[in-house]
Amino acid sequence: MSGNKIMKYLVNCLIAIVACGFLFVNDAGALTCETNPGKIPITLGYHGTKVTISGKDLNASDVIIQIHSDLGEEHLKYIGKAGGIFWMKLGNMIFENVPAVYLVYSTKPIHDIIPPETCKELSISFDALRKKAEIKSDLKDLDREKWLNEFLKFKKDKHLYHQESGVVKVDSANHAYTVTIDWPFEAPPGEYYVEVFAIQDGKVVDKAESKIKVERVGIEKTLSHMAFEKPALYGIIAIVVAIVAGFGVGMVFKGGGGH
Amino acid sequence: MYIYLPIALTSVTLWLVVGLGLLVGLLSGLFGVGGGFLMTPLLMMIGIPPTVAAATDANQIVAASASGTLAHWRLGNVDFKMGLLLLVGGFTGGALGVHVIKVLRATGGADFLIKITYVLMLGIVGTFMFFESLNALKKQKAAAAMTPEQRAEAERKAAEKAKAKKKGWLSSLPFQIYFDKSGVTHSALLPIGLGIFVGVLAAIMGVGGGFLMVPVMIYLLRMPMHVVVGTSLFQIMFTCVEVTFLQSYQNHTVDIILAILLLLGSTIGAQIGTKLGKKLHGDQLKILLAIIVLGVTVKMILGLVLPPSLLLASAGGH
Repeated sequence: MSGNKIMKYLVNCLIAIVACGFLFVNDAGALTCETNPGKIPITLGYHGTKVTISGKDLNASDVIIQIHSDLGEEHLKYIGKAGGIFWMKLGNMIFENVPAVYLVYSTKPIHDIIPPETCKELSISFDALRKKAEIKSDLKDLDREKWLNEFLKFKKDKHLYHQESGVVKVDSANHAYTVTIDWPFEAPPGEYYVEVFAIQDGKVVDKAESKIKVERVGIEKTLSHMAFEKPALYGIIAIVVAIVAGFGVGMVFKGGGGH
Repeated sequence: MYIYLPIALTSVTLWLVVGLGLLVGLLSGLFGVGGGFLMTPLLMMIGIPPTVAAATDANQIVAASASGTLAHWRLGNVDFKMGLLLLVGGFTGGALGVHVIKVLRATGGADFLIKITYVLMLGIVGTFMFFESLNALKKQKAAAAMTPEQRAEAERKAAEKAKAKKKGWLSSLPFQIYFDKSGVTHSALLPIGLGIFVGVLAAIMGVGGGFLMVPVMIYLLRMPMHVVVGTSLFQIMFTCVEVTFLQSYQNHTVDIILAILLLLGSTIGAQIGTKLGKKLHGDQLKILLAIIVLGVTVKMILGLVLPPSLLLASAGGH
């Protein structure tokens, strides 16, 4: 019995060693992904920034890079005709299972390098986003396709959704890729996921992941914290600043404005 | 130079925002309006979320109206007695209006009522002021062409007409008070009642109500134009202090950085506006304000009638 136990133990150890070995070998040749900067500080003068995403050990001809926030809800108002004459906000529309920010970059137009079905399977591109999204609204006879199109249009208008091809550069000789993107200042503070797909002959052959963190620093952080955690104090400061500024400027102009 | 706004979560060009503040402050000093009916749509146009635009606008109006009130007080143009009574009415009306909106939001159709009230009030006020001021300017021209005897006769008739007006039912109301700064006698109930009326409309429309209060003071309270502007600013300052606090406390929508940029421009603009206003005749001022109000009305009507480029919008705002 004890011999059997020892045997079992040795077999398990052997399996573990082999598995580790495989992982090690695989890791050595795996696609990498680096973002520079990895942390984007929101300072007083912040107006978006350039972000370079690059990697090595690429054994494929094409690359798709997608950046997104967590999936969540977007509460919007739909606009329609009231009384058949006036265009105005008529009701609420909630888009579920959608990211607040979604950016996609590729070496070529996405559908030239990967079939639409694979895109949907791997949740890549706007098509996949359409498939996952759900809409809730008080609107009768909701046309899902029409309102998803409107949603994408709305997000693109706010620079929060963007798709661009031909911008990711592949260096075949060095098995490397790189892209420099304009990070939109409209993207709110938070954590963003960077997913890199290496594509060869219409199939995903490798994948790498990274993260970008956008966070407020300095006065931006202090003010935002105060506005939400100490709103009464924030309100009083806002009023005092306004009154002091108003009277202050009034004093400066005293010379010409007296009796 | 760009500035990132911590509550609006967007980046703006410094000079553009300061410039907007200057423009609206100028109008504020000239006409005694807070400028909310102009500033909020302008802020939304540069990408500020509607709820933040409306709340922060109230914050910057505190500064512009404080600056304007001080300038007008130095010129002896603030009727504090009248201003306080209007303020009492305005606060009461504001609370009533907020309640009306709450009920309407629950039953639906609030947005429609807001838009229609906005267009109708702006349109009526603008048209009335425009034609009234035009007539006054024409009369002045005619008066200039009269002989001294003809002018004396016309003045006598106008005085008789004004006397007849005073004898109306309003003079029979209790609590009659003489407002020495404005040179008028009214029952205290009248400014309070009018304050309530404007307060209700202002709350429904989500604005300070300066562009409604000014015509009310001119045409219903018969106050002289120069006192109207100072008194209106005094009243607006308090209304906007209340709104700023409530918006900060309840909705977290006041962006202090945006407010500071706007007030940098608006406080200076209000001073320039006040000085410019001294050089213009009352009827010229009224006709200018009427043109601006009518311009905003036309823009709003176009916005309502023309199909928008996007069929989705952020929640909040008008």
